[in-house]
Amino acid sequence: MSILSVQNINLARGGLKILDNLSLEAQAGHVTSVIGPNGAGKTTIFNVISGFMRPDSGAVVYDGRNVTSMLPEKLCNMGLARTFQRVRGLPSLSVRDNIVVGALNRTSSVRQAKKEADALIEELDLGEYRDQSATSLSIGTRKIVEVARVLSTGPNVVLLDEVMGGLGPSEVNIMVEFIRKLPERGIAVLLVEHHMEAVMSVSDHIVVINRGRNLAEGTPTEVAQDPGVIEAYLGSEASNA
Amino acid sequence: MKNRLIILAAVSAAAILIALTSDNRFFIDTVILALIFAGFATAWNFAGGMTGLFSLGHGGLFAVGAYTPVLLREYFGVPTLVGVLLAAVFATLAALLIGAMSLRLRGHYFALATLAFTVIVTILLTNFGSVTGGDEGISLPFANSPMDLIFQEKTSYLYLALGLYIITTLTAIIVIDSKLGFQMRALREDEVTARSMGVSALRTKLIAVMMSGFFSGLAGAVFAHYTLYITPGNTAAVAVSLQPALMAIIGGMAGVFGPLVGAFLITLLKQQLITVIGADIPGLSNAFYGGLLLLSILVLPNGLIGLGKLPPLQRARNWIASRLPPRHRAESAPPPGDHDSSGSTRSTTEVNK
Repeated sequence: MSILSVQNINLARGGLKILDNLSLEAQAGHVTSVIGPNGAGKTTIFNVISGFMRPDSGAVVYDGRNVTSMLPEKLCNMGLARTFQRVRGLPSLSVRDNIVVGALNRTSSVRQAKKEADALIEELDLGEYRDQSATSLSIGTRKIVEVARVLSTGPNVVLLDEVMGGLGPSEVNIMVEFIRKLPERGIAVLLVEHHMEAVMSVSDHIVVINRGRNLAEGTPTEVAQDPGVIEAYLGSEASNA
Repeated sequence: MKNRLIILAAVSAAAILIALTSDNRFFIDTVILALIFAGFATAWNFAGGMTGLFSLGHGGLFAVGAYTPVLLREYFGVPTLVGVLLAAVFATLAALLIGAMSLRLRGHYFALATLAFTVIVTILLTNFGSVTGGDEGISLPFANSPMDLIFQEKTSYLYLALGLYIITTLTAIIVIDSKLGFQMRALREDEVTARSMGVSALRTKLIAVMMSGFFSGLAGAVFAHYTLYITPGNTAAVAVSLQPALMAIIGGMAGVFGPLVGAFLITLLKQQLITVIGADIPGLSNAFYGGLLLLSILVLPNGLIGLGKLPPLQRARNWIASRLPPRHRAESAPPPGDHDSSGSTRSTTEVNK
């Protein structure tokens, strides 16, 4: 039973169909990746799921409830949280305070939230950045903080939007290791990512989309051998060759 | 929190000391006005500094607070103390209008819309002259009647203004470290991120402006009973509306006491400017504020209260800290060889506390 089920989402802006009958599922304890060429609609579907955009039709079902077009803060309260492709964070607050705000999603006690934030900081080895403002960090650290921020809200489903963009090779490895560990917490991970090597190594299931439509899905190996996927990424000549 | 309470106690003690010892009426007058405006600016800061809702419409709320008890007493015989409470309530409700604007408008657009709000209040007060006295405003009849908040002794007003400042600031001290305070800061930093972390934009913003409105209304009511003369010009006008923002910016918006510092500086300047040069060149004081604002934004982005962040003072502080026996420092001690960043982060957290 999938904890998150996105069903036949349609979304158009002007005459342009951005999402065209798109469906996908995420399972607890699994990493599901959404891949596709630029402009395929990956971030848009994330915006729809997380409540920042309202689809024209279709449904987002989370934990058996229809949550389509619910407010983002409400969804987060219910356990569905996301990161942003362009790392935003709360710029002038310290790393710890960023995480405290997230932890306050589950508790009203600031003391308790601080305790949880410190535990998470410890776990992610962010101790040396604890009191620095989020903007003063390197991009790699900021992406980790971004994920920590989301984890601190105590989610059942996390949507990670391009958390490896801009990372160096060693940082990508750290992030991959980190994402691999998330399902152990019983979290369903939905990942949008361009870094193919990372996607292949970390995903249990991959959904390929192109021009807002489902193109293919399956295990990483299945997807990598799918002719339609190769065509979408490299053009038709490559798939003919 | 403890440190803040100590500072508040010290400020209160200083004000009481002035009330007890000084017989310079001009000086006491300055302190009273500064405390009233410190309360007003602290009230503004609930929305402006803490939540990032940069309102230029608080003059409207101040005016609601000033006119409510006076008009209620004049027309309905409502006792002043009840009227003052109602002033705060009405200003809280009026603040909901500003809150509604904040849900749709951001940044400059929000500031402009709130500015329109105070202009509308000014026009209403001016045009309903039969009730409000129009441009000429209302004079409160002088009588030594404490139940009407009209006192013979200036020092009584000083205690009243201090009381206003203390309850406003106590609220700010409690809020800033609470869940609500964190959520307000989160919204100020980035609304989209805050919402994605479960912070309700609607609820948090409305609570912030309502608190802001409540204490702005109280400040307006105290102001009315101190000056005994209220007009649209000295309560709702754009110039009044800009004051709390100006004070908070110059003093520092991040913490609790910036508005107090700004209020004292601006009030002192205002008194001096009016007595020394204002009479000859009207409007010069505004030019002064403008220059001060520019200077403060360019040189002191964290306000006067953020002065400690400047490198020389920071070094001095680090030096002093290094001489002191280690207390809590040990647990959060920065890694060696990282002196620069440790200095700046320490002061950041201090300002934010």
